[in-house]
Amino acid sequence: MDASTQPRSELVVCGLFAALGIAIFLGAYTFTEGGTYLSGPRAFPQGVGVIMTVAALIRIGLVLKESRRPASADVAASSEDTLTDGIPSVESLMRGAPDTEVESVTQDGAAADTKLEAEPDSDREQQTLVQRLVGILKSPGGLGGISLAYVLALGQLGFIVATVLYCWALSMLFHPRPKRAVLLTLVASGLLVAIAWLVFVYWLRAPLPRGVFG
Amino acid sequence: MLENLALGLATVIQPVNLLFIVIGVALGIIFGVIPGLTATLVIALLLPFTFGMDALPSMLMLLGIYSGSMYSSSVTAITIRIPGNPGSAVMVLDGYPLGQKGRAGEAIGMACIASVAGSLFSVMVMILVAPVIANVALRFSAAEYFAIGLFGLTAVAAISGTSILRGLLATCLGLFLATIGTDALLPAFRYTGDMPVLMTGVPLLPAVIGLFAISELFRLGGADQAMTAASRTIGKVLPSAKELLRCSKEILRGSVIGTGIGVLPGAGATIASFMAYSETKRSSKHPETFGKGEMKGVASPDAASNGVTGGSMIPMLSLGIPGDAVTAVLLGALVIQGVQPGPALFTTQTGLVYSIFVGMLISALVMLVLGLVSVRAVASLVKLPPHYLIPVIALFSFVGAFANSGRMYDVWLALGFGVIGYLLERYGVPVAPVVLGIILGPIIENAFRRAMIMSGGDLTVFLTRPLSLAILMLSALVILLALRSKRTLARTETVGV
Repeated sequence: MDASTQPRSELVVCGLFAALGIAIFLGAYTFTEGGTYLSGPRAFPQGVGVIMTVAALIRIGLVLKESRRPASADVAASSEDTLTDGIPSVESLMRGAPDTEVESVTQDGAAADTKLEAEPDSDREQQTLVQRLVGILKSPGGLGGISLAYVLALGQLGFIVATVLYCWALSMLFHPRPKRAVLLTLVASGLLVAIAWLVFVYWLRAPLPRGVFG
Repeated sequence: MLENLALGLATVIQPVNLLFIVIGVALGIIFGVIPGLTATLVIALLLPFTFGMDALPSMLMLLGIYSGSMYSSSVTAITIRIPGNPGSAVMVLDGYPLGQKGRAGEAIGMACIASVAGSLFSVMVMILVAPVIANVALRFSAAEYFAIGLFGLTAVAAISGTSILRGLLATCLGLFLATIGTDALLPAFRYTGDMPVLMTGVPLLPAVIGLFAISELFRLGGADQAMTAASRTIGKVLPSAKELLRCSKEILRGSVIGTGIGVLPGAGATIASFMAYSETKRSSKHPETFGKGEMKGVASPDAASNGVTGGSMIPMLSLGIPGDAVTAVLLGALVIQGVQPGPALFTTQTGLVYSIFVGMLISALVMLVLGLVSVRAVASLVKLPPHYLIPVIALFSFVGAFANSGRMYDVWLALGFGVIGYLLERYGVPVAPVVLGIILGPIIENAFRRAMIMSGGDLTVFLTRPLSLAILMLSALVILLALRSKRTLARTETVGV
């Protein structure tokens, strides 16, 4: 977990792992036993359950210990995000450089997109209902919901219709100027689905869901 | 061996096999250059395309993707300072300054040549070492296989970020998922809840697609990454002969480090490239030039990150133990094709093994040609916007999950694993150990139970057999070293130094 993540959420996650470990251990008692305990079907999953529970409890203990540290120690810890031997961490490198975006704004046509993302908080209050809805749909939860709807629709509407709609929705959501790109994203989604259909159905002979439209 | 290699060469140079090598390397270069698409993710996404193919061409294509994406992820590090994957993160340090000086093309060219050299070196080591290890492993009993399985799990220590405990939790989740279904040795159902669909267990492919690809889809959305790209002057592509000669020692150094690190479970390209960079800088007479556009700072880590490809294949092919997330997915691809990697593979499928060896050598040469020819075109791919990238990831994830079995159950499973993968990463639990657990779980459990049956329930059997004891001690050593490096990592926030 990142340093910024709340210890409380880590406690919840570890608590869930501990509970799962206990459930795995107890659930193994429902198996039909055979042979000796060590060579039977229970021993291994129960061992996994025990290790999972113990690891989760140790982690909980460590998190609680960390959270009791004085604030000054946290400040000291954060100041450790400095260079050693002149080689920064992978995490800091993967984040990219601060000047990268500045350059991309000045050198590339994507300046407008970046401006949109850098909207100040005051402007956010004036967002329309549609913009807020788009924001929700673009969140991981929103994307999960759209994907859930897609999987539900896949069996009913079939691969072609459901997937064109799904790809189009995703394309529109992430397009910087969606109003101007309705047709373009629809055509691109159709093409993408057509390529996938040709590859899987005609080349790989793998059937895809047909749905009510056959 | 030479006879087998000649046989492998005769097989690989058939047009269809060469075609799939070229397709694989090209796809690897194209997808690998897009920020966020790691080698593991690309292979997981393209795995379903291999279902209708024979084992050899599918492996050649996937290995081509592996090599190609390892090289091309450096392109983004050099051009826009965003590494395509963690393995090329260190390339930012000197590659990007070189790009700023208008020498991006030269840096990419050097990265390509170094990658090819690293690949060739590591594959040659693999050809020499893997059959020897497999020969020794043929004498293994259940106790040794159990120890080898545990040795494979030591990879978790290295791929768990800064907390081994979180990695252990993820591994346990994978090991638990592997126990779901019908018991392998006795007629018993485990955690199936009387659902017929669970009796065959948790299939690997939906798990891999969900944990790596679908979770990435959610993450990309959440991060709302603009993936803006700066168009840069690429300049000339080939580095001068003098520059190549100057960097040749560093390329060799990187290749050796990469191959050595690749053999160790879980060490991977990130550690190898950082270690190579650190060693190159440490041994340089002018360390002050590093970080300001030193070509040696590009050559050495790129050779190391590609040297890992052959190194990590050694335990995968000879012992059936994946060393990292990429080889775990590659191992899954072989299993899906009905090929079980391990020591027996070298006697039962000698032709396939040596064809893979030769195929990897040819892949490296294809990468040299395609990599250098496509520098300018590949650099422009960096600009692929998210409104096209995200639908592509989504489409191939769900279709891939369905096409494997033709069951909607697998699609639901992939979506479920996507949510689990996203939540795990969101709360700092790595997902790669889950896959490692799913793959190694049956190996470890079956070996343990067989050892218990043979020894009459005597647990000391793992310590009284010299080979088993040696492997267990090696595992303990790897864990101790990983714990030590984690402590350093946590303290200094640096890697591999």
